[in-house]
Amino acid sequence: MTTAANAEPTTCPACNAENGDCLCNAWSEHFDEMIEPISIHDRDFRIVRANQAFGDLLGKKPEEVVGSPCYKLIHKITAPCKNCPHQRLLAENRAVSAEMKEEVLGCIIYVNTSPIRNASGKVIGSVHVVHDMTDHYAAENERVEREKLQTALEMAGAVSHELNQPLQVISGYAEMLSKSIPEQDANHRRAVEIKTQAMRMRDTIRKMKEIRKYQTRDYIEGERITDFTSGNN
Amino acid sequence: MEKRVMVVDDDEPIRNMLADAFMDQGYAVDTAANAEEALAVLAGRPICVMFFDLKMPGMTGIELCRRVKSRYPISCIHALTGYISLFGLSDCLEAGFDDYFTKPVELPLLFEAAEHAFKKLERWTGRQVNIQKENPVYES
Repeated sequence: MTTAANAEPTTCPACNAENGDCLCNAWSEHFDEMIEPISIHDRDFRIVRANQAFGDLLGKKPEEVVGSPCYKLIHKITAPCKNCPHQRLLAENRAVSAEMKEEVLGCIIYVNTSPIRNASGKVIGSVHVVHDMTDHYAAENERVEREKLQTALEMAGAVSHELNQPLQVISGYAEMLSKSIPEQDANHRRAVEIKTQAMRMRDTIRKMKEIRKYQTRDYIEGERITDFTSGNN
Repeated sequence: MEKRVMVVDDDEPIRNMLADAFMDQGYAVDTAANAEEALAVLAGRPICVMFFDLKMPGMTGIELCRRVKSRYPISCIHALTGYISLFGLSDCLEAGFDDYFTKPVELPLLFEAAEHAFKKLERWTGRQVNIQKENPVYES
């Protein structure tokens, strides 16, 4: 728990807070050296102080973000967002953490908020520490996609052998039948069709082995199946 | 010499189908379900054109090809495989296979390969190979 220092006897000229509720002196120069974006927010969601990294996150100087509500500055909205950790902190009177997919900034962040209390224990603001999780999730997603592709290829390899063996027999006998049955006989056409469809299965099985990227496509009633055509490029 | 081929495959329906197919074309056919059987057949009669499955229990088709080529160098051996990635083309060529087919392979391709092999053997040996069952021209 962070408590404000009693730097001023009456009202702080910087933030207008009354004695003991001033947040300005809670700030340390050390915070400007930290790579994590750090900010202090008051009960009205206004940013009271921010470090260099926080400014960099928004493409502004730290002093330019002071005074603006965080929801307006960061999320470009007019009220606190649905999963706002600061709002939850104020409601629950405790530290709160939240992961947020930040559409405006184009990143995924994990925010740890810690309450700042005055001498009587009332929450007068919070410290926010932001961790950019974007690269972590990108690497994780890439790993998952690689594993999916590897699994699909392993399955395709197993399936291809098990299907290619009987297909060889089917296509071979169909070929022999089509050669031995006169063309005028209806069974000749049927034998040719058996061979054609066997070769069609062969080509599909080969496509299964050639996928380079795991993709799925709609099948029926919300069910999805592996796409062996568009994933081959 | 009669035009005789050998088919080695642990899958019985495939052995039977290929035997039927080659016999329809006028070839004499021997079959074997595994490498050991194949070597036993070869010990009993000269066969110069062969088709080996690669994935078989015990000795693989690749190892069988190495052994056959070392004992019977005047031979044309073709690989047949349902496992496309497991046994690559370069592994087969290194083992001594003359050609490589992935299942299911269309029969005319196999007939063409067999005919090409017999023509090559005729050139190598200067001996005419007839499709009818005549007196053996080859001597083991």
